[in-house]
Formats: sequence, C-alpha cells, structure tokens
Amino acid sequence: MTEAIIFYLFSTVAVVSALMMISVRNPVRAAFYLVLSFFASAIIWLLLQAEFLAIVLVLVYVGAVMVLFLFVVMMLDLNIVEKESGFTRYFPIGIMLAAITFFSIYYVLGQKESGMDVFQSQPLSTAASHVEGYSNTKELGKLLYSEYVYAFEIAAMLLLVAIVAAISLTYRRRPKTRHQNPDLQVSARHEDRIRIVKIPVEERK
Amino acid sequence: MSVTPDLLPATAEIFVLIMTCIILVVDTFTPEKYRASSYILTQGTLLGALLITIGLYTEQSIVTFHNTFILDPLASMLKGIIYIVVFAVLIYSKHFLQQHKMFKGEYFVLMLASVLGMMVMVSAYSFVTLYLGLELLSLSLYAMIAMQDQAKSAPEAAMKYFVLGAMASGLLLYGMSMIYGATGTLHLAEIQTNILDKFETHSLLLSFGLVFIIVAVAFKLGAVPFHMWVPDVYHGAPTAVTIFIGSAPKIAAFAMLFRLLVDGLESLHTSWQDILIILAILSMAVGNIIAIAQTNIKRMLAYSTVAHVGFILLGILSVSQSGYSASMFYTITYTIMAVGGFGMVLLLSHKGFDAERISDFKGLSTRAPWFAVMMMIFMFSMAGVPPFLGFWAKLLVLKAVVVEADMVWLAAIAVFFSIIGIFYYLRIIKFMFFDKAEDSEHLTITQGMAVTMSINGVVVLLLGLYPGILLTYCVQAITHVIQ
Amino acid sequence: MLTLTHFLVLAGLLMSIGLAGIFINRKNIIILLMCVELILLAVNLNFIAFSHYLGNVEGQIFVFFILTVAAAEAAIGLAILVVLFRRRQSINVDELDSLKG
Repeated sequence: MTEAIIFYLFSTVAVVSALMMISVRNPVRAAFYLVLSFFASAIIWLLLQAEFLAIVLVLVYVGAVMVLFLFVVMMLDLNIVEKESGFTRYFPIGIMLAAITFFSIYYVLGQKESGMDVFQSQPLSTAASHVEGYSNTKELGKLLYSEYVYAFEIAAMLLLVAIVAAISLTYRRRPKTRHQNPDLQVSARHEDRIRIVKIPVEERK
Repeated sequence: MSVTPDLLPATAEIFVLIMTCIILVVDTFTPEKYRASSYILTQGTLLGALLITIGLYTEQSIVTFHNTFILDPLASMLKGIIYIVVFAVLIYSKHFLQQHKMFKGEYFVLMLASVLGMMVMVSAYSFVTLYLGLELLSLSLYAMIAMQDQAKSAPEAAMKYFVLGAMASGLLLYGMSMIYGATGTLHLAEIQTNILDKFETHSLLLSFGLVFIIVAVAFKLGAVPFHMWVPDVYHGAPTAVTIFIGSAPKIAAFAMLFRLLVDGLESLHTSWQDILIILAILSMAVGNIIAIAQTNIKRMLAYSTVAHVGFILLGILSVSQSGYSASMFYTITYTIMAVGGFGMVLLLSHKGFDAERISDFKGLSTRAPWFAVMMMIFMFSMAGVPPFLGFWAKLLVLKAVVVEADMVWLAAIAVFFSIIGIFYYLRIIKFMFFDKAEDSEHLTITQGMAVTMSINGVVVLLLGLYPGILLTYCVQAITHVIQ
Repeated sequence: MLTLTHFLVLAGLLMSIGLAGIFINRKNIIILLMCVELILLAVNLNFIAFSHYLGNVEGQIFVFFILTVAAAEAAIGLAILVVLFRRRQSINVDELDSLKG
C-alpha cells in the first residue's frame, strides 16, 4: 500500500513537471522543472531497488548536467522574449504524434498476447528478492569491471571525445585579454627585474 | 569463466585508441609549423590498423569480452574498407582543411575517434557495444561539423544533425529496451535463440520494439521519410566533413542494420520486411525525383545518397544470403564512388571559393580533362550504366529481389526510379563536356590528390570490369555469418 | 498492487512528452536539448523496470552507460549551441533558415 502511494505521488510529480518543462518559455524554469522530474524519477528507481543508479541520477544529472545547462543559459544571456503566438505551427503535429505514441504503448501493454501477462501477476515486492547483505552497487561494479570492461573503455573514450570536442569548439583566444605565461614567469631571473644602480653619494653642499 | 578476456581479436581497436591518445599529446607539444605531423600520424594509424586487421583475418567467428565483441570475416572486411576510405578522405580534404583553418590536431583526433566508433559498431555483438559505438561515431561527427570558423551554416547544420540524431538514439534505445524486456538479454546471439524459444508468447512486445529500432536505423541511414537531415547536413557542413559523413559511416550503418536485423532479429523477418519495402520504395522515389531539382552539388549528392540507401534496403529485405551479400557489395561500391564524387567537389574548390553549384563543373573537360574523365566514370557508375561498377551492384540487388524474394513488381519500381535518376547524373557530364567554363581560375591540384583520384577512378573502372573480385569476398563474409 | 505495466506506462508517458516537446518547442533550442534528456530518462526507467522484474542486472548496466553517454551528449550539444549563439546572437529555431529543409 505504501509503495502504491509513493508510486502514484511521485509519478504524478514527474509527469506534471515534465509537462511544465515543455510548455514554459523561460529556459531557467524549464531546467528546474526537469530537475524536479529527475528527482521524482530517482525515487521511483529506488522503488525498483536500483539504489546505485538512483543516486547516480541525482548526483550526475541534477548535480552536473543540469548545472551545465544553467551555466550555458546564464552565459549566453538570453533575453526571454515574446509572449506572442503561443506555440508554432508544429503544435498539432507534436500533440498528435505524442498521443499516437502513448496510446500505442498503452495498447501494446494492455494486450493479453503481448507477453506482458508473464509479469502481470508479479507484485513489486516479490519480483526480485535478495539475500541479506546484498549490495546493488557491488553487484553492478562486479559486472562493470569484468563482463563489460570493453564497453567501459568505450565509454571512457566517449567522455574523452566530449572533452576534446567541447574545448575545441568553444575555446577562443581573445587578443585583448591578459594571460599569464607560466614559462616566462618561472624562467625570470632577478637580474632582469631589479637593476641595482650605484648612485654615488653626493655630499650636501 | 575466465576473468581476463581474450584481447587479441580487438588489437586493431586497441591500437587506434592508443594512437588517438598519442596524437592528442603529440599535437599539444608540436609547434604550429610542424602541424603536418598529426596528419601523417593519423594516416599511419589507419595503415597500421589495416595491417593488423589483415593479420587477424580468420574464417571463423571469434567472440570475446563475454559475448559483447565479435570478429568474423564480415567485420574484418568492413573494417578494412573503412580504413581505406578514410585514408582517401583525408588526402582529398587536406588542402581544404589547410585553407579553412581546420588543419588542427583536434580534427584528426575526432576523426580517429569516429573511426573507432565505426569499428566498434562493425564488431558489436551486444546492444551495449552497438549503442556505444554509434554514439562515439555520431558525437565526433557533430563536433567535426561545427568546427569550421567562418561558415555561417556549419553550426546550424551541426545543431540540426544533433537534435535529430539524439532523438533517433532515444528511439533506438526505447526499441532495445522492449526487446530486452521480451527476451531478457542484451546479447544479439542470445536474443536470436530466446526469440526462437518463446516467440509465441512475446510477439507483440517484440514487434513493437522492432518498429522503434527500424525507425531509428532509418534515421541514421537517411531513408525516407526520415531523411530530412541528410541534404541540410551535407549542404551546411564544410565539404571536407561532408565527404567523410557521406562515405565511411554508411558502411557502419549497414553493419548496424545487419547486426540488428539479421544477427539479432532475423526470426522476426516477416515483420521487418514489410516496413523495409515501404522505406525502400519511398527512398528511391523521393531521392531520385528531388535530386533533379537541385542546383547545389552537395544537395544533389545528398538526395542521390537517399536513393542509394533505398537500394541497400532492397538487398536486406530479400531475406536471403545472396540478398545480404548484394546489399553489402552495394554499400561498399557506393562508398567508393561517393568518395570520388565528393573528392571532385573538393578538387574544384580553391582559396576563397567553395565549389557548391553544379554549374561549377561547366567546362571541366577543357580545364582538367583527366579529372573530367574520372568524374564521368563516377557519375556513370552511380547512375548504374553498364559496364561500370554501379551497374553490377544494382543488378545483384535486383536479382536477389526477383529470385529470392519473388517480388518482380518491386524490382520494376526500382528500375523505373533508377532510370529517372540517370538524368541528373548525365546533366553533370553534359556540363563538363559540352558547356563553357564560367570560372577560368587555374585549378590547384596537389599531387597526392591527383594520384588518389586517379587510383579511385581506376578502381571503379576495374571493379566494374571484374566485379567478381569484390563479390566473392562479400559472399564469403556473409556465408560465414549466416552459418 | 504495483506491476510492471505501471512503470512501463509511466515511461511511455514521459517518452511521449519528450517527443511532443521536440515538435512543439521550436522556439528555444535549450528546451529541445532538455527534451532529449527527458526521452533518455524514459528509456532508463523502462530498462530499470524490466531489469527488476526479470531479476537480471544487465539492464541496469545499460542504464549506467546511457547515463554516461547522455552526459557527454549534453556537453557537446551545449558546445554547439554556444558556437551557434556566437555566430548568430540567437538560438531561436525559427531563425535557423539558411538551410532549407
């Protein structure tokens, strides 16, 4: 019973905030609605006993990716514009497409012969029972570093590509800004900086 | 279960990965005037990988990394073609890159990363590796398009490609999740056996996932009605990147299609065959008809790609060994011709001027007669005029459709649209040989470019005269996979 | 009683909202990028739900990789957005018209 309450409460939050995200104009607000949607989803993932991924979702997504979005919004200094004209001419197509997608998903899941009936009778709590001391993180880690080591390396390469691409795309050397040149700083000798001039002492006349 | 996986079959991937990192470091510490070192290292990497792949060639299928990686004749052969094509692409684009301030280490690093992505896709034997390879390829491509400094259209093309590509990946994953739910595994071989075991109970869920997967693959291949990005990206991207996008990734996309539909889901072929028929007819129709109306050569070649994708799908949808090998033959030959065609566009560009209009080809026979002949070979071949290479490719696909799939009407439609297609290829030939040049500027053709272009043209001509050389390898590769 | 269908329908809802968002929100590319993230969230929920009910951890491994890729994707998407903005001083999709689709 508690599970059902948690599920319905947070799935409502997730869906409503997702709807708000696509309909607001202000990108900062949209980002915050998406964050809310992520939080609600993380709780639903906890219901499904995916503890590690739920935490990663909050840490990586809310903590890093969404902050990146907000950074870019701030950096670009977008002026939030035009209340006019509501949505574009694609509005009806978009709504129709979404409705068709959703109802076909709903239809497939509702069918007896879809194969879903195998799971249908299984309640959440007994679906996967673990022994005492089971750790989701440990289990994932074991697989990740043994069976999926190849995929793991490719993922590392993907992140490297993201770094190289993001830096080479956005980095530009502005002629007017002042840089430090550590090489020059280190190799500077004190003879170059201070010149000791011997001034002969003059006697006051 | 051994803890350490067998690393030997993946030597080529490991080599490319290490060299990419080395180039990244070397480029940082070399001064501006030795920039060419990264270029030479990149070419060396491709050659080295080619040697390794040839050295590892076996007639068996070796599966390693706990069923996520496969090395079979198909993978070896496609990888080899990818290296050679990318090697030619780099030679063609060197001059363009230098002129457009894109001759930077990052560019080569991204290029090698995308080559690595293609290799991973070609050798993928599980949803996880297939998806990661695809993303490694696409993310590098998005960045390469946007790298140009001057052109206004490049970032726009990159953004369009990015949003549509990311959406397609989302759909692909949604389809994969459905198939995972139905079969309980991510490994392609196990999916195949699991479907055969319990096909009856899981059918609807499976075909639902299948639809999402096909839509996503059609997006990546550029099949109608999911082709909107192709002309825009080909047009908006710098020509040096267009030649890359238009060539090697098609081989990887073919591999993805093959691994998913044939290796993984062949038992569902009654479901995917019908969808592919619709996609193929639409692609051939829309591609060939709209290409006629184009004045921009890059857009024209983009629509011609769409039409060729229709033919590649025809081979797959005949669900037979000869159909698959015809489709593979078609993909490889198309790639070789496309590299030549886009290479000619690069060859016509010179400082401050990018050849973009079809009319830029006017009078080429007087300005550079040898290259006009080369372009003529490419165009005849793409149009499917006998005895050029493209003709055999089309013939084999059509034969598979008629003999194996018993769909004469479909073959008739394909022939009809390729006859329409001949028109716009012939127009370029007419421009080159019978019209006066508008641009009298002397063409600066580097030696490497001239040699590569000549080899490229001669290869198309020779393979057209002796198509059996390439075809036997294709048939062999496919037969090994099917058994 | 909560069954698998509950979770899949929720994922389907999020997926459709994300898809609709891509078509509706032609005003602002940043929101387009967020819609892509929403689609991936829906896919992840699907994988986790199946993984739980099948008692098979592989689905969660896939989600781990999807999260990694999505982070890289977001970084590159935003980098392209920055380049685009510098070039045109706007991220309105309607103004992206130099390439006719």
